[in-house]
Amino acid sequence: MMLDSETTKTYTRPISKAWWLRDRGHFNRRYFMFLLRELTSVFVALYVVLFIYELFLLTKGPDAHAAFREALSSGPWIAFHVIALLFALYHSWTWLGLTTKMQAAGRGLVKIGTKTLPPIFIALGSYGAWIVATIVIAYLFLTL
Amino acid sequence: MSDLRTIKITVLRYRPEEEDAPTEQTYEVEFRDDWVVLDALNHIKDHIDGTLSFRWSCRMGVCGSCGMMVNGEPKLTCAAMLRDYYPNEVRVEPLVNFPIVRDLVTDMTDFMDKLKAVKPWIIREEEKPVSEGEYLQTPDQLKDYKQFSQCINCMLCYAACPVYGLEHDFVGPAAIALGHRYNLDSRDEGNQQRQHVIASKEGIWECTYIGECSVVCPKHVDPAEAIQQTKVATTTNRLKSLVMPWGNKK
Repeated sequence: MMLDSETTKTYTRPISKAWWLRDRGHFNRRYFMFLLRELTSVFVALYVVLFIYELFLLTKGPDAHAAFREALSSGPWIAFHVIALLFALYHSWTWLGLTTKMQAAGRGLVKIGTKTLPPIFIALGSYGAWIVATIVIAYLFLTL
Repeated sequence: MSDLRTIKITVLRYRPEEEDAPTEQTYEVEFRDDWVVLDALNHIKDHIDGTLSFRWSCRMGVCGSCGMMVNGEPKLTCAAMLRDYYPNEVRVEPLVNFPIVRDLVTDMTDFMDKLKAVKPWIIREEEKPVSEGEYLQTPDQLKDYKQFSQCINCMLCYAACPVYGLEHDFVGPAAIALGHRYNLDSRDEGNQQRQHVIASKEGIWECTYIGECSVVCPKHVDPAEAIQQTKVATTTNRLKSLVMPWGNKK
């Protein structure tokens, strides 16, 4: 129905600021998990700032850097790193899961001839590349 | 089971000539086991309160007219069984994210404008004469877009999408999915004409992938998938045109 907005008095319902917690009296887990995913960027950003600061301290000599490393081993900093890691893992996991969306069975973007590559291969490729990259970085970090 | 049971139905009422904001009204409805929420609304209108307004048509999940919020979730009321809610009460509201015209009727003008903007029809650069016959298509080519063509314009996905609620410029799930459906059609040549709407900031890039549109879709169209596919295709095409500016940009 098309309306003449000049003559029709419609009512627009306001959206609560807490829509992701309680939407019209109901808790929607997916809205909450979505906002949690948006929140992950805050922790990733904080971690990056911390990391850049650590790199900066390297220019101030080994003592300044060692003192900072020592400070990082305190309880609150370890707690921060654990939380930041969990958020980073959650973000990566959901982002890579999204890659299968371009490849739903029978109508995906990646094709071999006329047949669509099953989405499981995209998922395996994404998660596999993630795990391999993590292992390589961990190996370089622990051995160098 | 044919025993009658009584269920409470609370409906959001809005009578613009009488009130400035919606109010609630509760009805007690005796229902049979095979009744859906729409049956209860029709029962109220026919036997209890003839002033209640709502849209409906086919009663079988095809026309897409009877979408409403049932206990906070966007649903086709012709497919929401009362027995699934009993003995709790059922709360029926008009689809959220749309202005209310009266009671359970919303103003869908914004959606209709957006739908038209994505040009959901087959566009040919040049039509071939009828004497040359149909535009043929293989079953595999049909499979590419068939799912996205199942949309019945019920707008449940718009009610489920917080992005649309917060950013009304967002083209939205169903319109993008339908534009994508024609972009994927082997007979269509209108991709470029749709891009400025679909691949814009108000189009696919406004979507932050909450995915609720696909959860509530009664026809399993999966608009979230259409949007993610378009994001990948648009990015790939842009990269291609950067690396190979002389290539076919269609």
